Amino acid sequence: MTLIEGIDQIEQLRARVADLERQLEEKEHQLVHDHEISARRLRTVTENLPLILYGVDMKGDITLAEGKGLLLTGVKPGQEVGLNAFEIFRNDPKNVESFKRALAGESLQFVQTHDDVHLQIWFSPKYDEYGKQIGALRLSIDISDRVHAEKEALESRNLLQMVLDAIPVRVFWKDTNSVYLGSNKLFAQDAKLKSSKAIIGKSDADFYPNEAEAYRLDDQKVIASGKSKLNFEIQQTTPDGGSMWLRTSKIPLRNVAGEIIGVLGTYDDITERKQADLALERSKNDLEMAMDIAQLGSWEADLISNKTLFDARYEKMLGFAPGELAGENPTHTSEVHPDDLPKLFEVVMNYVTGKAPEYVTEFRTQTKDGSWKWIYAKAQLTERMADGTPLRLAGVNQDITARKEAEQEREVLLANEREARREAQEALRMKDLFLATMSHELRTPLNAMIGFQHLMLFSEQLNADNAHMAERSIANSQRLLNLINNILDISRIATGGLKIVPVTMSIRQLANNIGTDLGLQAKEKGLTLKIDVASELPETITHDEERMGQIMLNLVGNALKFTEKGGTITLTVRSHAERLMIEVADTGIGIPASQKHVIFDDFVQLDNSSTRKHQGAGLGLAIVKRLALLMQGSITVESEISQGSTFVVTLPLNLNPESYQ
Amino acid sequence: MNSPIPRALEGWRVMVVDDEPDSLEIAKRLLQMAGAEVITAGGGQEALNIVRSARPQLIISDLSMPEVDGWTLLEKLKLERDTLEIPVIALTAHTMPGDRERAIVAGFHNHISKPLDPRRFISQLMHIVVDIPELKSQLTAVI
Repeated sequence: MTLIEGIDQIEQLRARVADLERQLEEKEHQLVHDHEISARRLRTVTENLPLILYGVDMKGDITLAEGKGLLLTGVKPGQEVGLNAFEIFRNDPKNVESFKRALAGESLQFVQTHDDVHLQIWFSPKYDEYGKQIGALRLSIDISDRVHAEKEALESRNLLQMVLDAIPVRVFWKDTNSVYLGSNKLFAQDAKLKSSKAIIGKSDADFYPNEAEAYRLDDQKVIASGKSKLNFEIQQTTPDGGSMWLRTSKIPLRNVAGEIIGVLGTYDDITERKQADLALERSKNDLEMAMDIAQLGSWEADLISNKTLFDARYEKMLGFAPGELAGENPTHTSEVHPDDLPKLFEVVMNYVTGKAPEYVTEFRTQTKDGSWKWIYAKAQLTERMADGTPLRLAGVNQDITARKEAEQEREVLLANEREARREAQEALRMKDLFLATMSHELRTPLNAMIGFQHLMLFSEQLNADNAHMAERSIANSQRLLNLINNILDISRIATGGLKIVPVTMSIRQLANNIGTDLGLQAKEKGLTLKIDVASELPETITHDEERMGQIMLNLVGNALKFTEKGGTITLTVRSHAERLMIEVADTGIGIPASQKHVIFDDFVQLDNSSTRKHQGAGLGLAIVKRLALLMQGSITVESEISQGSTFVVTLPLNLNPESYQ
Repeated sequence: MNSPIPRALEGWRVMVVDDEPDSLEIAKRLLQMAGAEVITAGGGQEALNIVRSARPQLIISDLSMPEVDGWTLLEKLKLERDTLEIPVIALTAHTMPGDRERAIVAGFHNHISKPLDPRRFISQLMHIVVDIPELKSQLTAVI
């Protein structure tokens, strides 16, 4: 290297050192300047913000104490410079510890709370420009306001959720895509979710697949229009497959700028009310139907204005269009049949004035086509003034035309029946009259014949042959008379025309008369007729002598007819315990057991062949039985074939005349 | 042929009242056979017309007759001094139940059933008249 070269080199190095010195000087200047700026800036910050800034050297002696916050602690900025930080914070282990850690090169931060004061505290090491730690910095800022604000915000959020959860309405909110952002607890319960948080991010498709699309379209309509849709009722399928009724509202959600950010919805579970409504409607429908079926029209009368309003049903019932009746005839009396009007007025007045306890009446009213319908009306006062004056009368009118017609028809039938009965009674009376006349007309000539035949028989001039013919004539006349008597009797018993007439009589005399009357006949037939009247019988009894005589005559006559020559007939009369026994025993042909039950029937003779041996129409025993029954008695028979028969008629010993009037 | 009728009413004057001629004739003949003097009347009014002149000791009268019946006849007889003591026997038909009792109550002396049974008529009549004192003496004399 040359000298020049060396000098040049020295020169260059000198220039370079000078340049470096200059640069250093500039740098130092710059640093001082920067420091000043930063110190000024720091002061501006610390003087205006509620912060405290401590700087300490490696021993903990305070080199810097700035910040408006210091004023709150009672010291001025800079006042504490020179004091030892460990000394100042000796009662605050957390800060002592933190200073130590910061002096050991660690950066840390924490929040410290004293009562209501919340401080955010930073610690950091402090280095010189060469990177050597020369101390530590502590910065604290009072963040109480922020903490309080956060707390309040949290509390108000909680309160809102609490309120939402407490109100008995389902509340939910969705974003503009119908995705749930939240709900209250009730809504979550309906969606079968455990908590309302679980709803976030879900959509209706997750809960209500059947209705989801409809709900989404609904949401979009509200979002697009910005108009609320309030209180509409819908039926929704529940997640468990049931069904519920909702009354729901959807309201657009807006942010502070007024932009729509979603939709807020609420709904009530109105299932119960809806079911009650439906039930009510059904029962109302049922009522309407019942009223239709029953042909019931209802009406209401204003007693002050004297106007009556009828329902359409009543108007229809009478052939009028709805409203027609009320319009044309407010008082509704011109249609009522004039004959029924006074009574209707009376019923109304009596009820309204309290004279009658109820308003129930029937009247005829004219339909539009002029025909008449029967109406059954029932009404009640529904409103009174404070002083009791009746205000309103409400009632139902029923079309009872069919019933009335049936009633009238029934009346006619009843009248016809009464007439028929009267005619039948008249016919019966005529029959009785005929029988009485017949009886008289038949008997009178026969009696005369018998009388004259007897007289003929008594005549001195009669020879034996004549006498025989007269006797036969008498016997046949007598037979004819008996038959006529029997037929007339059986007819009169059958028609109830035969009356039992209890009189005072001697049973002994009656039995003896029978003996006299029939004794001759018995003798002629070669039979013995014995009359045996028990001695214990009273002299007189109260009985129907005529009918008792007829019973004896028929029974003895019957025995005479069926007993062969040489036989014996015994008429015994006795009494036991207020009962009278008339017993007729014969030794005749007897009655087969199989025939016993028919012998008391009318016109029965056991031998019905054309060649039968015995005469008579078979009425004798039938009459005896009927007479016995008429006198509260009975007849029995015991018989053995070829041995004979015994008939016993049992009657009350005395008849009570009052029972036979 | 022997008449079975004893002449028990010999000398008696008996009036018979009946609107049926046959019945009237039978009674008349029977009473005559028994020896009675018989006056007949075809009805109640005729009986009343002739009763004073005929002066019967006994009247036998039917009950059912047109116009003046047996009941009316009895009533009128009982109203007159001359006739009130004549016993009147009612002829009662069994077609009119109750007449017998009523007849006794009304004042008839007794009753005999119609139709007349010729065999029993006189004996019945004698049973009845035994308690008429005026006739009884005559009757017992005969019997």
